[in-house]
Amino acid sequence: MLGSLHLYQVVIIIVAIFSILFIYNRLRYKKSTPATFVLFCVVWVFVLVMTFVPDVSTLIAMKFGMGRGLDFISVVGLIICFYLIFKLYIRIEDNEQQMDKLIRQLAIDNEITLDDEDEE
Amino acid sequence: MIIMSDFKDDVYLVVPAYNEEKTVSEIIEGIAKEGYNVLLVNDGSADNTLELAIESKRKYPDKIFIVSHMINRGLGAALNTGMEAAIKKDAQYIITFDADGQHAIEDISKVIQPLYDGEADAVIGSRPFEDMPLSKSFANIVMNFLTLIFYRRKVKDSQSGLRAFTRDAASKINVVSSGYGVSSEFIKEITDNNLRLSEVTITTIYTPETQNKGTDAIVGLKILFKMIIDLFRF
Repeated sequence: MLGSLHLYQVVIIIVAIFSILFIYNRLRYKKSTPATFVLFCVVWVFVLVMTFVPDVSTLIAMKFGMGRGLDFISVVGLIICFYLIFKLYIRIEDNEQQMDKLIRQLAIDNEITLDDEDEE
Repeated sequence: MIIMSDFKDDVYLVVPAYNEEKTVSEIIEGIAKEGYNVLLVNDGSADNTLELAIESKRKYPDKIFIVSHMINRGLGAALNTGMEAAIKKDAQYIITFDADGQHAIEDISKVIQPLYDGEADAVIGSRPFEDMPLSKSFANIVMNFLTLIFYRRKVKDSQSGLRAFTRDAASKINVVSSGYGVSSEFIKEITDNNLRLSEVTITTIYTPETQNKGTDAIVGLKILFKMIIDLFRF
């Protein structure tokens, strides 16, 4: 069975298995939510389907008016990457603002007095 | 233009400082000597800024107040902290003043005057661009243009660090930018809250320290990027 697989298919299977195990482990230790786990599984199952039945991508591509399946996959991949970068940027920005609030509040609540210095 | 000393007690100068050990003592002691209150915000400086500020506080314990960010959070966060702390101290007039020595202490009374006379809620001290080095004046002209495009307000100097607010105006202003983008955001907040704005020409002192900080082309690009992202956020 393995002999009939192309090298890229073997690599994708290994990466998919490790990725799913990785996210499952995070779920087990409550570091990820069930929703993230399901989303990851769906993405990797989609990648596996595309790897083993490449014609599926061509069928979907035709529906979207694109000629080749590979074009469809590239476009979807790019859109997902841009979306994730934007989402990450917003998430980092939100975290930065939360950190600002914390640091600012600590500073205001702990105004430096000369007594503090003398105690030290 | 005489400002009574009891009136000066109601004035708090918020001085954000990040690695300003060369100038911080001179600036805050100079302001305190004039009778104004100073609220120094040490923004996680890695040098001796905080220690020197504490030394200055020993000389003027009733005039110099210090709050300190544990880590560096940027100009906007430091100004926010300082303004909030000043409001808590019952400040009636709040002035933001750079710690790098580019502002003249004599200009403080100039920016308070329109507030004191009831002519404005917010004042911006405009630096004459012809006094600036070419790269700085170009960057500041571009920032004025971007402030006009994004925040619909034409001002002479959108990036000036010398600003004055009444207590009410300062309470209404809510800036979220943590870096240099905060200067343009002040203009946006002044416009959005329908505050009366007055612009006063101030002198700018250019030294090697002041040259190294402030708006240059890279900072300008960062602010532009932030403005574009903010369009999608609100």
